[in-house]
Amino acid sequence: MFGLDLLAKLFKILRSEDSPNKIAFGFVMGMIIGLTPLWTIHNLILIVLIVILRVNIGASLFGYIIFGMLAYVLDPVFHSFGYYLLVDVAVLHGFWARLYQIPVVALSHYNNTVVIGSLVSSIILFIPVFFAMKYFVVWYRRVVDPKLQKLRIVQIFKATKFYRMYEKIKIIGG
Amino acid sequence: MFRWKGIIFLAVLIGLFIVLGLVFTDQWLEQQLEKTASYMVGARVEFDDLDFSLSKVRLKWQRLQVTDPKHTMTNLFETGESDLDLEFWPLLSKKVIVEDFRIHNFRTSTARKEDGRLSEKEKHEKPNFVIRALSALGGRVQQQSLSSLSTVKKNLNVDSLLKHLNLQSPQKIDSLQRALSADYQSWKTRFASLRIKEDIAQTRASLKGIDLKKIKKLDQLLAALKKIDAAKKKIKDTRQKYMTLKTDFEVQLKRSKEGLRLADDWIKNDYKRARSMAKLPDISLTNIGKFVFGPTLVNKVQTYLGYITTVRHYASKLKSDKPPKAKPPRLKGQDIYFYNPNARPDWWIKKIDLSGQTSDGLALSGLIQNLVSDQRQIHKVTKIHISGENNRKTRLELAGTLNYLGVSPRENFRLDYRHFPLKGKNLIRSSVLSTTAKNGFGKIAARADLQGDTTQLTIQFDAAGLNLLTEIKGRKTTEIQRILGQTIDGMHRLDLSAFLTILKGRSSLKVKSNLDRQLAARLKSVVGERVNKAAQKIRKEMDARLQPQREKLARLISTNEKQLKDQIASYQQMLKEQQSAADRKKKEIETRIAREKNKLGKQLKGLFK
Repeated sequence: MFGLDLLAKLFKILRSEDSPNKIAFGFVMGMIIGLTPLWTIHNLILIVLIVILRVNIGASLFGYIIFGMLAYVLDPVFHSFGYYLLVDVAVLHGFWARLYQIPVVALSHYNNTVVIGSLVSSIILFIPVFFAMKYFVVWYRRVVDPKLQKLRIVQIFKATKFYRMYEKIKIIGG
Repeated sequence: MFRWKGIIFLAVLIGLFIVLGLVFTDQWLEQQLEKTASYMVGARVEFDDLDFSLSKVRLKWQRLQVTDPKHTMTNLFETGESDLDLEFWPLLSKKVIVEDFRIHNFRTSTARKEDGRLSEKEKHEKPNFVIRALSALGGRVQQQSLSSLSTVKKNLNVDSLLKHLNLQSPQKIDSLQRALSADYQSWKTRFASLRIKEDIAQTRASLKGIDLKKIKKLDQLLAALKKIDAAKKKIKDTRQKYMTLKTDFEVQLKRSKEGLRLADDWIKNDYKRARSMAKLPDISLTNIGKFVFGPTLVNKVQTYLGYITTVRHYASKLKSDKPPKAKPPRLKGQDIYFYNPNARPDWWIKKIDLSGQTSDGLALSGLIQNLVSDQRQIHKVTKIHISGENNRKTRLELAGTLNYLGVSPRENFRLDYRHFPLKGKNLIRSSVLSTTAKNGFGKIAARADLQGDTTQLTIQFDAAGLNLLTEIKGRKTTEIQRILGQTIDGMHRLDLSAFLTILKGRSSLKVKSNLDRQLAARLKSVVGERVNKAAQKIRKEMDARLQPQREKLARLISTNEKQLKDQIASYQQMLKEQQSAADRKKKEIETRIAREKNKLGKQLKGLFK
């Protein structure tokens, strides 16, 4: 049911009235929260931004769930990448040491291998994922969705008892 | 651009968070501090009524209990009301700087209402060089404790002992024997394949074929000389082969000798294990002190040095420039510390003022300066000074320095405790007897120096005016227990010197006391004979089992070596003979050639006359 729910959520986001920019922006913000450990200062800032800015909250949630699962799998990679950045790259040592002394920044837990490894990875992914998502939303709305709605199987599926039951369960389950 | 509903929601959330924070911060902080401190100590640490004031930047509590990890129903120490002033701005940089820390009503060894043991899940072992070395020493000392003396059996069942021991040398000797047999076999094959004997026979035949008596002409002589040269070359080649063989064989000889030595070591080791399993103590004058006081001493030292090395563990954790890559649990990562000589340390308690009392009621006051996460950032060492005295002339002084400024960590401590009452104190505690002082006063002077992986500890304990009472444990009093009890109870003065050294993971303990002489003679007469008999019995039985195998191995080595050595010697002899035969013949031919040349010369001169 979780996979189906996720798929339904995605379709709902894609078919919402929000602009592709808002959806993509919400999605990449959710991606950063999902990829990096939750209780960090940058995530707190991101959550605040998601709440106060007019980005698609559903897309953020979707990005968080998808990349949160991915983060669990990629954890050893982030640890190694973070260790490389913090320890192996000697040129950066001075930078990290100075950063460590800056108030509030020190509280951000950036000196943790997984935090820095996943944060830098998500920053690298930010722009490509943003444009990819934006392009995907536009393409979906222009090409896929009209075709999908016309598909007989979709219409039949929507008319089935199972779909109606699923809709009911979804409403009951919140 | 802004979502106003979101902003309102956030404002409400922040408000709620502040309210909850005001209510629950102290509780949360108390839990966090207790969890971290318990993790570091290895036993439960509990704060009562912890109060954190953000406006005054002050932390205080009414009571702090730190459980003794070894006796979890006792607190290592506990404090009464204590408070510390923090600096605000460093907190934003994740730094805790404490200007002044006041501890009141500091007490040691207080009883706990609840067990302070941590669950297995909460425990975190930090094995270090001192603990490792002392654990090994503890095991050794336990073997030489009073209880080991009384467990020496009159009739030792060697069969059962050796059955349980699982002798290791027979198997090892057996596999060595097989390996050496294979070696010798391959040597024999090599000897045969080199065909040295055949080569020599061939040379001999070729030399024999040159019959000088039958040779009349010069050209025949020259042809014979050529043949001899060829034979000599052959001898040279054969000698070369022989030399290589000889050199290689010498390596084998060394290996065989080494094998025999190894077999002796394995047997020795099995014997040592058997002796240790039979718990046969080594009773000598130098060991008596260890028997009596060893286990208690090692136990105490292990506890106190354990605390020092825990401090060192956390102090040196931050010193590594390139921390080794850890394998943290998923999503936890590894924290990397960045050393900056110009920055303030992560935490720094500049001054701790301490007041309280010992379990004996001795009023204490102390000052601890510069307890810090990284001494290099403040260029100061940590200094500890605690002292106390009472009107009964009891005096205590503990001074210590923790120096982590250099490459290798250094700690030194000096304890001077004088004229403390011994009444009711348990001086000797073992499973066979327990001695308590009814009267008397004691004096301890101890010094501990730790540098890198080296530790030196000296303890001098003197007790005077003693009146001791020994309680024998167990259902039946043994003769040894009786001797021990009588000797100990007859003492009115006790002096004890202990020297403990840990060097590169190896530890040694020497204990001297005035009890040594008094006990040694009496114990030797009773236990010594029993120990010797048991040792002889073990040795005899082991010899019966192991010596035949060892002799078989020695025979294998000597028989094969003799055979091969003889063969080598015979080759050498044959080569020598052939060499001299060839040289002799060559010389003879050369003489005859010279003679023939002379003759021809004279004939030529005759022609021209």
